[in-house]
Amino acid sequence: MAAVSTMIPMYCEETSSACDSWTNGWTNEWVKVTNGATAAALGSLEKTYFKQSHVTGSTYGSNDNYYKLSHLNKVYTKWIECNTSTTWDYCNTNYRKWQWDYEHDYIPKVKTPTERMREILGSRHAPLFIPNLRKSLVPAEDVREQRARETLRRVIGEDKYFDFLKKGFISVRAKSGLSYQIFPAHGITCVYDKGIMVERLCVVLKGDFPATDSLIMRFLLILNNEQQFRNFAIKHSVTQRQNRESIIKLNQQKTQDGKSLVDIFREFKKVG
Amino acid sequence: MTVATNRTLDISRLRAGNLPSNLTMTLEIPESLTILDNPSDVPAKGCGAIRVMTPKDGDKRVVWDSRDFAQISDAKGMFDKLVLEGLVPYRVGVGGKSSSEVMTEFDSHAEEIIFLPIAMVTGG
Repeated sequence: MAAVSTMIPMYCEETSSACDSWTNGWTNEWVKVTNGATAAALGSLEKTYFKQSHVTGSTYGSNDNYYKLSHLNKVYTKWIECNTSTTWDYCNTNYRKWQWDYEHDYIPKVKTPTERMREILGSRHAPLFIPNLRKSLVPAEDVREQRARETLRRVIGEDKYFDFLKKGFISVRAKSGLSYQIFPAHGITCVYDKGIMVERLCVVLKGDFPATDSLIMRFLLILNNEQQFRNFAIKHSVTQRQNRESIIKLNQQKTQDGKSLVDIFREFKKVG
Repeated sequence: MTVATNRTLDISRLRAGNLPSNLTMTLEIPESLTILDNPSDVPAKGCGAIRVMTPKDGDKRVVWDSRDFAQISDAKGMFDKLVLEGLVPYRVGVGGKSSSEVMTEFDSHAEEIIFLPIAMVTGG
């Protein structure tokens, strides 16, 4: 549940009663909430406390912790910011700053131009993500595998480790500029150049090593001695796994709507 | 911290061309060094750890105290032996951040060192 505290506090200083008017079937109400209140909590507050606070007038004129909650057809959808000179019509048409998806209670995070730029750069280098093919890892029962995962956690860092648990593979960009998609155990390492799979390399640890140890070995070798990794590898055909033409087509589609990175950067710079 | 009873490491010694090794040797772990057996155990503050990948244990973690000269000396001795046997040491980034770097000599302040049994790496 997203907390209300993640939103900018919106309030109405009720000095002229301008905000208390209602038109066109819209009503607006005062609800007292505390920071961190959830949507569900707000719903119950509306039912239990709104009437009382409105009737007693104890909330009048105060703006601390009082949020203006407006609704249409009894569904809370919008947050509106007002001030003393704001009329209700003005609020209604100009100050819908936040849309609240009441059904899912999810408030999307607004990304900064820098974050967006990073995302675009990442998407252009990362392997094409094909949903429903990767499965998240199950907790390991073998103590050797548990130790290996702890080691991996130290090697790649927390963020990448949890990504690994979720996706079942890790991606690493070597000094050559190629991206390697590494799988545990005997999984074949896929090599991508600007999002297109160009090679499939198989390098393994001989012996009864835990699955994640092989992944650590590949990660370390690729980062430190890519050429040695490639020397060990047995190369497999790309077409065995995926139709290269279709991948290229998909990747073209992925970048077609986009402009060049320079153009995107200029746009973000303008916004910033 | 749990002290394991098994204080030996089975490591592969040599490569035969591009083939993995079948020769193994047993290395004794010095008594002064601690072995972390439980996967969730972490080295205490001020301690460094050597992780050696082995088929038998997954990762054998040997811990030294970087304030104890005797332990540093033993850890260095073990480091040198493992390097001599062909294992490649990688230093894990400070604070567990994603990085790796091949070590050429023992550093008593290294947080963690991972030994990769390069003799066991082969094409598949």
